[in-house]
Amino acid sequence: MIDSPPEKINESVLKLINNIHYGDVKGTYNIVLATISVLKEIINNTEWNTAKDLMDSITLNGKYLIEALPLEASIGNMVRRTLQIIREEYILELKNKTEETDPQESLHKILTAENDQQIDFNTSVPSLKSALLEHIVEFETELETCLENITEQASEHIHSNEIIMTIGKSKLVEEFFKKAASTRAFDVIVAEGGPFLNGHEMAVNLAKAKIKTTLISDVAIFAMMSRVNKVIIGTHTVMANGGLRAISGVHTVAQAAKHYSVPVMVLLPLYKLSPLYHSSYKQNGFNKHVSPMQGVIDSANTQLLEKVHAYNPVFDYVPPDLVTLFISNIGGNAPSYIYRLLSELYHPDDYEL
Amino acid sequence: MCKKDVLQAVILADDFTTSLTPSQNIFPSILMPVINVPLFDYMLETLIKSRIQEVFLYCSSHIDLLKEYVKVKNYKGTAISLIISDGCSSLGDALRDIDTKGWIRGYFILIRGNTFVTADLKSLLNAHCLKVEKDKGATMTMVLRNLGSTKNSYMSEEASLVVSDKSSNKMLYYTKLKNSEKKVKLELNWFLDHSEIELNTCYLDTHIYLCSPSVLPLFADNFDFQTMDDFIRGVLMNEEILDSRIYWQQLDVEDYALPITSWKAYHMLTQDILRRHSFPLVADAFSSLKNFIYMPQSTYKHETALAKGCVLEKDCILGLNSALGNNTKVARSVIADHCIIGSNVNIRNSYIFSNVRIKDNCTIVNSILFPNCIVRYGSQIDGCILCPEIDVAARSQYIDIIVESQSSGVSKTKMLELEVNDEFLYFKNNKLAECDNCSTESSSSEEDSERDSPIPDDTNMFLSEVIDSLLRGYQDKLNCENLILEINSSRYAYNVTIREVTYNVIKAILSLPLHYLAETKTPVNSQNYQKNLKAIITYFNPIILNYVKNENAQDDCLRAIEDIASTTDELLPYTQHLLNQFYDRDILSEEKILEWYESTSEDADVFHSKVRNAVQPFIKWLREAEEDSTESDND
Amino acid sequence: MVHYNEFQAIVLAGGKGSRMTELTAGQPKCLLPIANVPMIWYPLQILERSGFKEAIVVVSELTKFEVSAALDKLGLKIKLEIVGIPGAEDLGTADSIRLIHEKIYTDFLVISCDLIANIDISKILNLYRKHNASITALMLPVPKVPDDFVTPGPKSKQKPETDLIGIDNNTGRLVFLASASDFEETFNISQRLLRRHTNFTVHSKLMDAHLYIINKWVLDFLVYNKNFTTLKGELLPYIVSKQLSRPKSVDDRNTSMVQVDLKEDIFRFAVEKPLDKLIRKMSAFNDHSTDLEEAYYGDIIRCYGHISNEKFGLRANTVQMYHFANAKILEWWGANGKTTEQLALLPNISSTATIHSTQMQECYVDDNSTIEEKTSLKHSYIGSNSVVESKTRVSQSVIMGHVTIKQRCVIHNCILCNGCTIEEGTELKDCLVGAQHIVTSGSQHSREVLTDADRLIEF
Repeated sequence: MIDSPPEKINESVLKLINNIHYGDVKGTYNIVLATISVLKEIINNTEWNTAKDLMDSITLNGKYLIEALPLEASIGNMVRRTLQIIREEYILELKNKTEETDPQESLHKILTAENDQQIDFNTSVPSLKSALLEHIVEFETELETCLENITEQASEHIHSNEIIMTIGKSKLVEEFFKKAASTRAFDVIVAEGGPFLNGHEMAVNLAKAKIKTTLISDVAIFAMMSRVNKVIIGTHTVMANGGLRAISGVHTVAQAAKHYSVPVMVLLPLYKLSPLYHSSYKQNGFNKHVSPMQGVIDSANTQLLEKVHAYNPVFDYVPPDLVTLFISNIGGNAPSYIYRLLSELYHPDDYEL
Repeated sequence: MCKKDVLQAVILADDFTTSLTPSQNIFPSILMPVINVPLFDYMLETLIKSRIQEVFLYCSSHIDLLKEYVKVKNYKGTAISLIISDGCSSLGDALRDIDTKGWIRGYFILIRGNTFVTADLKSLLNAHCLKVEKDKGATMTMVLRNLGSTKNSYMSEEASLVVSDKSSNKMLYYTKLKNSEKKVKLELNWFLDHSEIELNTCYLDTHIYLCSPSVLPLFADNFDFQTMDDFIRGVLMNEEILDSRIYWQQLDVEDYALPITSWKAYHMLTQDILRRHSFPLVADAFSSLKNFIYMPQSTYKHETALAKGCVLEKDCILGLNSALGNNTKVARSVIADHCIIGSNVNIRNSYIFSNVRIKDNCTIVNSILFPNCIVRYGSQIDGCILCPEIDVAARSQYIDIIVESQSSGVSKTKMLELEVNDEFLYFKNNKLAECDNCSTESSSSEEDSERDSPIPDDTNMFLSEVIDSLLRGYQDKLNCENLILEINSSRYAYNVTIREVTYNVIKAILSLPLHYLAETKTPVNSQNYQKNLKAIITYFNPIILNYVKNENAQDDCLRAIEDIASTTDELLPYTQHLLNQFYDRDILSEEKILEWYESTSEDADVFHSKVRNAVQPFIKWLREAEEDSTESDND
Repeated sequence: MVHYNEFQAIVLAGGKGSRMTELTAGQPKCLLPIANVPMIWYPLQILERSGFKEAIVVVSELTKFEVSAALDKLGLKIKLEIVGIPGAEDLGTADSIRLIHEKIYTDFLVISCDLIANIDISKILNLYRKHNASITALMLPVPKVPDDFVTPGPKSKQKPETDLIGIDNNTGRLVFLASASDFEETFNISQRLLRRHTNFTVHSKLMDAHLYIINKWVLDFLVYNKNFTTLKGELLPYIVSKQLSRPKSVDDRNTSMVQVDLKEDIFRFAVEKPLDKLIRKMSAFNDHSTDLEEAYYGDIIRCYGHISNEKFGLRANTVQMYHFANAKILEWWGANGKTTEQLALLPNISSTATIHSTQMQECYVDDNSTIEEKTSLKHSYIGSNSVVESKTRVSQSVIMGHVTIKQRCVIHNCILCNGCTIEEGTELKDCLVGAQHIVTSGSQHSREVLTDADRLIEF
């Protein structure tokens, strides 16, 4: 990052941007942890008097982060989540009421609860900071156990002698399979996931874990789908409508699965759930177009390179109607239920930062 | 070997060439704007990513610009120091200067300022260090990029021959391939001393050199090393004496690098960046090029740019606060910041730098417009370079010139008149006659084949050269005057007499339709031939007039017509029309035609009479006309 | 007659062994024994293993009966047609092929009788089939002769020939072929070649094994063009260099004007079959991916080189190589995981041999030979009908047929040709004894060639 940033942006935010930009922090999970620790630092180390101050500061920094790294939607999710935590804690502290035993608000309550809108965040609450930090630490623990909670459910979804298809490489899916394999035997078909061909590594890892694995090329996805019982994939982000932003090739798999009425299950740690919509066909900010030399065309053919336009998008958008079930850390949910999860996780005011 | 604390890189801000005329007068090569961002921005991003801690920027001209630039920028963990030496004029001098400063302590990366690279330099340098562990005398590792084949590409002039030992990648010979030389001389010893020798022409020097500490002393000791090529040649030749060896290393296939060695390379680099070959250094992914909207066909638009009612065809980018008028078309072009372009403007293959204003109905093709130019209403600019602050008057037409503003006024230089040793390569008319070369020299590749194929004498070579020039000229609609220049230069090259020139030019023109039809894949028949011949003669009228000036020339012209007509069935029935046409255009005089018709050559063969029979009606008409005119004169 | 063979095999065995006249004075080169087997057995065995049912063996007319008698004894399953050519000794390989061209009706494989290698030619055949090549050649690494290996006979300064063999890294095309001795210090290479084949390797430690698979049209060309006398030296380099050329298209109007003489050129023979052309045009196959040229760059003439990575392979065409082959053959043959059984159509010790010796290590003794008591034999081959008398020591030597070694001789690292006699008490070290020569008793020789001089002249 070369250009000079606005003055109000926290140092640690800039550092985080650089770290992610230059590849020091990789993988959504690590990015999420890093983001939370930065936000915690802002709460902890910056000067603020009221919840309003803090929320403004978090919003400002968060917005800068999101603009700098538009593709990492989970960063935005963490910012929204933090804001939601601040709201919750503030209200709790303000009312000093702890009788709210039911942590999950009901649909009715959300619809009727308008009082949030009128809450004045300008009151200074001295105990807020410690309460917040406590809550965030709690949230961090939740994040840490998140993946484990998902893999715990493996045996509920994978049964003996089933044939499961997946595409590309996902650490979470790999763990999910390994967990299931500890109690039963099943077959996995891995589509290689061109042009990056991460599926090769995935297949090797699964085979090492003594799971019967078959690696297929992407063109064989449709042909193989007829014998598949289930498709289990990971995703990069889940949009507000339940659509996926996942590595390219997933759309093919989902379409083929639809054709053969094979259920598609998506492993979804909740931090990947984003209150955004995929709105425009100009895929700016939704997709990442990397160099076509990374697997699409041979870089040692200048004549071809000069003559053709080759595209190499990293992500596919998969519409929600192709997804059967999301397996999140709090259980399985249908795509139509995503809005409910969203409203539990984030405050509607924070959807647009 | 390489256990040292700091990773150092030396960047030469200038490349000491004039191949990018006139840009060297405007900014140092490292500040050359590529898609509106100085080349240095891309380089810095790579340096930071590669975690280079210390960068020495060697400045020898435009020092104020560089100082200014370095001051504004913010670097993460990379210290940039300027080495200022006004008036240094070669790479060798620069390195000798750096050597005396003594700031370079260990292995370092030498980067020439005109290059663009996305690779991880740190891992490249580590690879060099591994080589040093095996061979203490490894002074330098060149980083080469595999281009596959450079034939028919923008880079065809960049092709170089790399002779190296296959197992170790030790360089034995490195040279640029020149189109003029058909053969390359190789030393037999290389092959006898090594069991496997690789001969490569697919590699491009990326202008990144991984150096051992011994490089600088080598430069210091050998004052005749001026350029990098000198150094490489010198070290390879005196490998034993200097106890130094040069290795090469291939750039990873997914990485991209390209030095801007000519305007052609500049064009190619820009196109490649727009097509995202250089990811992550591309618009909308790279911090200096933020807030661009990426649209299909590799077109980009800054969020603030206005482009309603215009067509961004392909491979183009529209910078900050630029505006396009209605019905304007842009293809393969870069329009930088704050440009205002009117309606009905056609921009193709052009680079428009910041703050340029182009009024309505202009056409800008294959051109480069430096900042603050103004092109007024209805102008046409083709293949030109306009230096900063040029104001082009309304309805002017500029073709193939470089326009510079000087204290005395505006100077215009024809591109063709630039000195040859400047290696000026412009991207207009990229498709050179190279493929034609191949077909003509196809049988002359090896000694054996030369032996039994007829050795083309100079006149035949000249003829085929003329055919090539004319064919290209006709296809690309080149100016006839330029073609005459070209023919004349071939004439001197092959030492052909003026009479033979006329004969061959006419011959070439008459056979041109056949070549043209073959080129356009149209079936060859009399009808097509005649139709094309007519068009060609009309087009090349100035050339014919230029060569057929006197009576001798007319003889040659007729001789050529006869020779071609007798061997080409398509022409034969048309010969009389041809003569008529030449007669009408005052190319051939009546007397000469009749004289030719009546001349009976000694060996009056079948062909001879065949042609004469074919033109009989015209001669008859000509005679009658003659009689008429003499009669009327008599009256 | 219906011909259904894809390839015909031709074994060239008519050579006189001009690089090893000392040995070939007594018998045809192709019958020189290597591990007690005539060397022609090795190429025939390669053919047989690869599934060839028939082969044509070209020999000199003079030796026809001798060779056919020897071949009958070998018990090969492959059906051999032995063709004698008068004066074959002085003809080049291309000449020999030209003389028997009536017998060749399809693509053919040419193998030389001195190729001693354990190779699988199906790979080479597949390379040929894959690209519909004009010529495919086998390249073998030049065998490394250990420094301590001494060739019998006087020290020779014979410098091994070095071939420069250029093979395209991407396509395996043979793009350049020359002998280093043709050049002085430098040589030229055409820029067109460099630009076409942007990435190729020139090998100098490979040798042409003289195993070619040749397209039928090349034979037609060879028959027409009588200038070529050898395959390796003349025809192959010519065809390789012609790859870059293009046929002069018939409808090219240039020809009508520039007056190309209608001399028959190679492209009258190298014609792509219409079906092949159609297949090539319609297929998406391309042999290279570095530019946008059509497959094979549209070349009709295509030469390929197959580099064998077998450790063992040589041409026994010099005394050094011949002796080296004898010394190493057992080790090599065994090293390939195949038992020596394959080689040993003869048992170590023939059943008709009479052995009285108790000190024998790794020796092969052929039919009707007699080894008397109190002899010591090590690492040696004893041919048929030979006699080794008592108190004699023989080591690392090749003893051909009808040799008599009298008592108290010491023979080390020698080659004893047919019918020679070593008289009593002789000591021979690193010597070569010519056919029918008699070494007088009590003499001592080292690094010498012992022959009847007149006999050499006679042949």
